[in-house]
Amino acid sequence: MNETNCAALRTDALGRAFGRTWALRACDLEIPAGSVVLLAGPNGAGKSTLLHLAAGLLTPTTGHAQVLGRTPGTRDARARTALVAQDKPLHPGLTVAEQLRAGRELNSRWDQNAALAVLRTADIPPGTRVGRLSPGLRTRVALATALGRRPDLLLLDEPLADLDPPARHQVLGLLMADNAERGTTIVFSSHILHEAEQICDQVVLLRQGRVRLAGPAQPLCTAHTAVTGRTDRAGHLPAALTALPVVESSITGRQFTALVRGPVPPEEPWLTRVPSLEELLLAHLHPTATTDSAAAPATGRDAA
Amino acid sequence: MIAFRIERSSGVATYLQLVHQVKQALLLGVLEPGDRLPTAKDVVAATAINPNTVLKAYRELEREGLVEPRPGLGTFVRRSLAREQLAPDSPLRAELTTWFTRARAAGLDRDDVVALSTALLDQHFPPTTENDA
Amino acid sequence: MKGTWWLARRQQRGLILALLILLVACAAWTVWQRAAMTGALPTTHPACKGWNGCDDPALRAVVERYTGPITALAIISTVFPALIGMFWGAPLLAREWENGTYRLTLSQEAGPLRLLAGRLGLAALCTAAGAAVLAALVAWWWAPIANTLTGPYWYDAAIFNGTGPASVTCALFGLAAGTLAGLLTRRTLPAMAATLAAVAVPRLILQAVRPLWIAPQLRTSPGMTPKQLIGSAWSSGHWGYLTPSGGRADIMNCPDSGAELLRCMNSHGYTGRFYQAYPSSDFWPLQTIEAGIYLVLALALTALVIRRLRPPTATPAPAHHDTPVAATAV
Repeated sequence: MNETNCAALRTDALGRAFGRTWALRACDLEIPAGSVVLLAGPNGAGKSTLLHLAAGLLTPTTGHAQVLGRTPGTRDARARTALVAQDKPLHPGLTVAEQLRAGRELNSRWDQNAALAVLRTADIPPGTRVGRLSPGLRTRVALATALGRRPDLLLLDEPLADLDPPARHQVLGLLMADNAERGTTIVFSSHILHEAEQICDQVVLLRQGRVRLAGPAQPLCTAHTAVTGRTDRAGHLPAALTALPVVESSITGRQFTALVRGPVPPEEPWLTRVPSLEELLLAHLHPTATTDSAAAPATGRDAA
Repeated sequence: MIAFRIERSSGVATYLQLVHQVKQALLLGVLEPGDRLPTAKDVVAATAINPNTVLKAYRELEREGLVEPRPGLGTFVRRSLAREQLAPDSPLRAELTTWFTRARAAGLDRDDVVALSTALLDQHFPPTTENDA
Repeated sequence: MKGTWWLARRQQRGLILALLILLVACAAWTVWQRAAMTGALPTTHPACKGWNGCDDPALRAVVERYTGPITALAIISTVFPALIGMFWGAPLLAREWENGTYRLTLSQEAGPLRLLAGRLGLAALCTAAGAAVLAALVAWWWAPIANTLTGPYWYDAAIFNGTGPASVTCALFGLAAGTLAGLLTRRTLPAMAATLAAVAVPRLILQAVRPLWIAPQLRTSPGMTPKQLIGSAWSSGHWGYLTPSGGRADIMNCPDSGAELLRCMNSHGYTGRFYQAYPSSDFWPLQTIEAGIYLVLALALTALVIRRLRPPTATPAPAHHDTPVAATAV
């Protein structure tokens, strides 16, 4: 099982370029073993690149990564890491049963019951060819082949994208049960922030190839303040607010709403509350959100 | 046993929803001393929430003295919140049932009964500030 | 290894079936045609090998009747390496990238190299077996009329390339070339085109340089004594006259025959005539040389495939945040 003294995923100045384009750069993360990590960010932010680097399918251009204390792609790392890529790759000519058999033949830790538990969440005839499955069933078979490997680190790229709400609930339930039972570290990228909020205890927010926010979910929320108040006479944000590290703000009539890093002065006549994780992520993902890196101290290393 | 339901849009923290539901079950006698609470694995499989949320709720219940963990066995109910007077066969309950039957016979509908009983409830049990029980 | 072997078998069973159908069809045709051919051979068939063999009309009829079919089978065997490279080698890895399954395959515990060992191992086994069967069929059918009259000779391109150990190692080379092309292009179709070129070019080059590997026999005949018959030997295309000093003179110096030739030779002082040829026994040394070349090429390309697929092996010591990466290499 997991060594407690060893991060499930650790990156040091990790960067990866494709040609002249940096998909990911200067990425410093430390993900504790046993956590459930939401990897958020707009399309093209570097989420898939980070997951592929962790799975050993890409080599770093700069820096390096470690999964469970090992170099990604080495035999030890492969034995304990499973990736479900975004398009849920499966061998199209194999039947569902044969796809599971392939998992058993290629992995010494294979657990058929763990794989079958995933398939039982839907009616999937084992003789169906994988290439003929609907996207939702395909996702389940891909997850079955990953969970059957009994990984200590499970990397999931958009696992929920092809699932309807009841199926998302079932699949998330299975993943959380695996986390509860075996302490599996789960790193998953998702755009479905609302549902992700219930299940993650760590967040990594990527934007334009850089880590914008990383750390335990609850402390990140309480380190921010959602503020509502009245604009100044000219209809602008009050000066007392703009003096603060504002992540994102908007004005509607005489009312402004803003998300601020850290606390706000209690004497100001504003309504304040702790933002939900979804609000926090949306604010940081907003196109007008400040990108001042000096105002973004929370890297995984600092926050963890 | 008890099945949890999570209201995602209620605004109440998930772990508090679990705490409330256990207390409700204790009040109604659905859970009795010695009963085992579902394991974190069972709860998260059914509700799709983070296991730590379940553990946090159980710790809160333990802090309030309602449950106790027994290592290797699970988390067990220590004491009940149910009172005799609330049981299905209690005299108070029988009297109230009789009163409801008479109210219906007198032609009151549901809204009338709610209005009347709320008024009397406020009179005899003045509302206190919102507590977290 | 056992595990990857299962997947290799499962994923290549369609190809194995197609190969079996091809081999059975070729074998059935060969058995039927060869039986008809040997039945038609004159029973008193003397050993009439070579161009200058006895001209038995019945034998000539059989040779002429079956030269075409035998050559056709030999051509199938000759293009077999290209077919294997294009339809077995090229998709072997390229398909993984086309389906996106390389991310599934390469990240399994078994790893890229064991998967490759199973997959390429099975493909190589089938390729070698298929090529050997085709080569044997060609040789078996050809043997009764081998090197006879105007029939197929050992040095004809179809026969030389379609039989012998070189045809087996050439097929393995085709497989390796296709596999590497698929890995580099990551698309089956361009890999197939590249494979066709990669197999055809060495074949044509080796065909052209074949006479250069070993020296031909020098066959001389003094004076006007009749030349040694060429028989089943392969003429190198060099012939002419011997000068008194032991040198050689061009054939065009006396492009005559009969009495004219004698007069011309005497006027130049030529002491005899010569020609160069490779006896049919040279088939084996030449086959061995080409078989070796194809085998080395196949192994080299396979090594490139392995090199490119090889996963990281070393686990660098956890580096401190600001330590240069180069300094952490172990």
